Amino acid sequence: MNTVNDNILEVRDLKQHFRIDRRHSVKAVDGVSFTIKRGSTFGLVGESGSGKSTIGRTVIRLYAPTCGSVKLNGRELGGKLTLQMKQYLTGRVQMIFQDPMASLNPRKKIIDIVAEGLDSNKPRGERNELVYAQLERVGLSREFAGRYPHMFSGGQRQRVGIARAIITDPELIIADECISALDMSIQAQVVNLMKDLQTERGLTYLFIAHDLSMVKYISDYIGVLHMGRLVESGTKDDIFQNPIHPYTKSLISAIPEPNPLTEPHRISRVYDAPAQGIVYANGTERYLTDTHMVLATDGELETWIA
Amino acid sequence: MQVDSGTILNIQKLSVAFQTTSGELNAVRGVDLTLRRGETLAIVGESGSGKSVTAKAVMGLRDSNQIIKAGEILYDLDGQVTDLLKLTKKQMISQVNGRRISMIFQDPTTALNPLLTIGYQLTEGLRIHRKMSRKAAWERGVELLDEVGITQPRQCMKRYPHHLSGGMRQRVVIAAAISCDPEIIICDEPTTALDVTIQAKILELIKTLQKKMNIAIIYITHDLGVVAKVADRVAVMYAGKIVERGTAYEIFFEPRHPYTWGLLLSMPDINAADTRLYSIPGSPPNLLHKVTGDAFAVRNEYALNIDYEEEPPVFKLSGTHEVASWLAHPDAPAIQIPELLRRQIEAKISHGDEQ
Repeated sequence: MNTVNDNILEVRDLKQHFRIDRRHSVKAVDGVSFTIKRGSTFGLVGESGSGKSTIGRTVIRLYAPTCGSVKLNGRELGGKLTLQMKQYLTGRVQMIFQDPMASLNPRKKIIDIVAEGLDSNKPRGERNELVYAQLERVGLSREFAGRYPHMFSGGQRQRVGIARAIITDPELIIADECISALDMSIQAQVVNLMKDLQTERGLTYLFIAHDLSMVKYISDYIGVLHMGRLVESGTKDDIFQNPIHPYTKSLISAIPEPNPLTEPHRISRVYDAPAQGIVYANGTERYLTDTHMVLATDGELETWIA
Repeated sequence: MQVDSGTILNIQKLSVAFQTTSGELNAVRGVDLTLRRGETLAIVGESGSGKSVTAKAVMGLRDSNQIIKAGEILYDLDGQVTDLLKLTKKQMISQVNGRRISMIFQDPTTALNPLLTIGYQLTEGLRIHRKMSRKAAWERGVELLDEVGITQPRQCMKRYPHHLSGGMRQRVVIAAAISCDPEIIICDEPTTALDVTIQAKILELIKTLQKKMNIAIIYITHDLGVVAKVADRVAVMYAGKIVERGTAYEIFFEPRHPYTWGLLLSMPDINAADTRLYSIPGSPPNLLHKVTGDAFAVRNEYALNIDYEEEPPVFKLSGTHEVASWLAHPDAPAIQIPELLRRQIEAKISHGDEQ
């Protein structure tokens, strides 16, 4: 079973619709497919409302998918979860959230926050030792274990969030905008830590962000989401060296470059799907290479490549 | 102190502290800034460096536990140089805020009142400061919305903030900010809450309006990409002080302060290969405690002994470039900027020459 070992996560035609009332529903995710290779980082980018967070939450089963399949190590996560499947999922998939203040319980000590994912019947001493080990791994000293979240800075809190995620020895970590709330210099620290942990433990990341420059830095593969659809995906080089879809192009052109010689005169590209006559529902997934996928119709693909 | 021609705002030795339960927190520790007519000044720094507190002091937005320890903010008010810190809240509101100096905040959702229509909030300044009739103000409001690129401005006037998207809301806030022809706009992280594609559009919009109306802008941001796009001059703040200032070119291509080096290096370079990101070790100092010497010394790998004892004075490097670091002292050991940064700068300059 080569595929099982190769791909840790396979998402096929995932749809996540939220019902508002009898007649209306929001199609947050509307037919998205991608796979993540074990030990790699998959970056998911898109503007707010594109469905990137929804995908992350569906993968960890905070939502039950409306339709489509999500396979972790070849096991189906869609539909109704059996108790067995739930136990399989928890611990193997963990999440790091955007706002470390909101995702850490202010009334709990760090040691209890970090230990929450462990088996409740672990002996006290062993449990504490494990927590200390994780804290030290993420660059916090063990004295911090008895403190409360408000006593830490933003970067330290995010380290606590990472410690909590890695304590169950997960295979896949979903990082949902986990560095957006941090300062530039602290972002670099946290990203470096995440990269180190990846090489050490062979972790796989689903990295969700809107900051393309950071996504480019950390990801091996990138998927570009817009309006609940994956409009383009591929390796980092596919997306940045050879972007095809006009939305991807506009996203890349919108990144401000820290160069005062060129940046002031640069005008970013405008992307307006209805005005350019692009209807996502008409497009199908077309593979330019083994890895590079674009959502397009025949005609669109021809004009975009030309 | 005279405000010379061209300078419209002159901040002198501003020190601001906050009374907290655990003591006095010195958020801003002696900041000097000047702003000239029509230029863009960017203040960069990490959270807690005091950049927002400085801007809020200019606007007279005083928290109840805030103490102005020292300094003055000189501004030409009807031909008379006035210290804005000496004005009462009432005077600030009637004479300065919105009328001559206006502010654009980070989050347009909280900047707008959810219970009032866009039209009402947009025309508030016109009715109060410009004494316009409701009807005239309404018509002007429609023009303003059109100017900031909102399609169907007439319909938009009757809408409520929740009807609009984040980018649209920020456009409304910008329209309100320019409604009374201010001389200065303070933008406090105006695009941080927005998506990148919208961010680019908003920055371009602010730039066009600035040129058209000859407004001076103070940009507060931590995103160096944004700084490169908009700024004429840059001030780098750290722990309540300005550690380096200069033109955008000087800060990006001839930086002298190790903190500026660190900031520039911690940006992921979009054109570079997969190197490890540089990160400034440690975290900013706690300003509740007294800072002796250079506040950055403990995080600075090039720190000299004197950095731990005495605060560095400001060294003038050129007419526009100043740095507060002992490394710029003539007797200091000559320290070259990091190799990686030097290469990045060279690449950027050659990239700039190509275009």
